[in-house]
Amino acid sequence: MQLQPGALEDHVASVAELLERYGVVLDLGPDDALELDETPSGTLTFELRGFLPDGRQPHHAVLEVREVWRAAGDAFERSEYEYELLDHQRGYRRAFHLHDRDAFGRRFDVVVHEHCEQPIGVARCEHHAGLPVRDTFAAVELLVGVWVDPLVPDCGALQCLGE
Amino acid sequence: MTDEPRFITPAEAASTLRISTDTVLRLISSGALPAIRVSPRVIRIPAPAFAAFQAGWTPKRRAVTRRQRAIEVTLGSNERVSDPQHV
Repeated sequence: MQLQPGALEDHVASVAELLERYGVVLDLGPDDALELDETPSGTLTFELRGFLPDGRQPHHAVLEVREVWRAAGDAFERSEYEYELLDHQRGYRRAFHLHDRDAFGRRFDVVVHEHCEQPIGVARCEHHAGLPVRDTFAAVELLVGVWVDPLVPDCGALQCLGE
Repeated sequence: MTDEPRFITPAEAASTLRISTDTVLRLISSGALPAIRVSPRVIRIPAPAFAAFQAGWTPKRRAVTRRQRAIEVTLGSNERVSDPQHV
């Protein structure tokens, strides 16, 4: 996934808008701005965190979207991501990750991996095999899709990396 | 803690809105009503998204500010992957 320089702000705003359209309550005030962080090397990062559903305490589910974008030629490329769903009501964590490419490539011959914990904090397997998430909008639909599913994720059905 | 339904079907949405299911499907196709397409024949409308749609609420587009950070950011810092030769 690549974007032209200057398009990242629009991207972050669009992802936040999609989350809110799905009914995710962002961990922000109604008029708060979103933040795009720029590191000394020019890398751009952002994090969006929100809750499903609205208006209840404690929050039943927490969604998190984190991405790192690095310069790739004239454009920026999504180089790392973490998409997380912590469903406290049903007691599980599902996560879709891309980070530490070299280490995962050497150790497991994969680029991406997933996490599945049920109950939260209890993982049968440290890293599961997974498929790359096409883009951030697909990630939002993936997380919300897991949340609406009447069945909790079957962590045992996933392929454990390293086994 | 009650576990309320987290989604409604297009037929249920049509009944609630007093419109046809085809109209609901058109709203979904146009993007006006957010929904999760589980398969070509199974569509789930998240309950919070439907509540927002019913209320006529649409999110306001948020401003984005760029911040300079002093340190680099990498994800997965709380995960460890050992190299094969050390396993």
